[in-house]
Amino acid sequence: MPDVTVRLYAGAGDAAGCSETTAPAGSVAEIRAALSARFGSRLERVLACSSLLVDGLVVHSPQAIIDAGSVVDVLPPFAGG
Amino acid sequence: MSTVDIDLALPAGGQPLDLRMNCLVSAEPLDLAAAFVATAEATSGAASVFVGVVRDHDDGQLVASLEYAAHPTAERALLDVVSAQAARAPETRSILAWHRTGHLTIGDIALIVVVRTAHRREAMQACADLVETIKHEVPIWKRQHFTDGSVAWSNCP
Repeated sequence: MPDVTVRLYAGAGDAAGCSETTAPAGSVAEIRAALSARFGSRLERVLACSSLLVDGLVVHSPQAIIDAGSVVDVLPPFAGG
Repeated sequence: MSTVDIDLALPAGGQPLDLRMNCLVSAEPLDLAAAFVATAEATSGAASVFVGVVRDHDDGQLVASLEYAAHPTAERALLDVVSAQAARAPETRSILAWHRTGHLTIGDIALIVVVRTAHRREAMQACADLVETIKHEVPIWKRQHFTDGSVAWSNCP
């Protein structure tokens, strides 16, 4: 199945044990579920509080469709300053 | 570094005023004196400076050191935040926001924010507002190394 690239930043990468992976194209909710199933409950908790960029743009809706070939950035809560 | 010089016209006409915005996300140590000089602007009577410094404790645990990691868009996001702040406070003459990344130890400067305006109240308020917005809206993360050997990303489950 055509894939999306998922880049996992900071604590998300920690929870998954990798900074980049792929997932089947689909809705945001489906991709979150696929990643959670693969990497476990800690990543699931991080995904629940993370924002997502799809090809550089913020996507809020769990129903938003992410096309094959897209790059999804998982951004956990910020902690700068 | 993103340095932007903008000429703004006063709403009622008159002399255009320069607005300088200077944003940086860098792994190099931050020079506080250089940041102050970089914002120098002859019409401002007030400069408010915030310095974020690495401290030795967090939430009851002792911190040995920490790392800041930035998303590739962090400097752009910082410029967006600074631009929005300047738009909210049109008396602002010069704004600087520098954030350090990489490995820092206790006492190191993590963040410098400088705002220069005509008068003190606006400078201090704008500086405080900008620091809050930076913390919420710029994609930078902090991983702390505690003295007990544990390591944890802040604000993350």
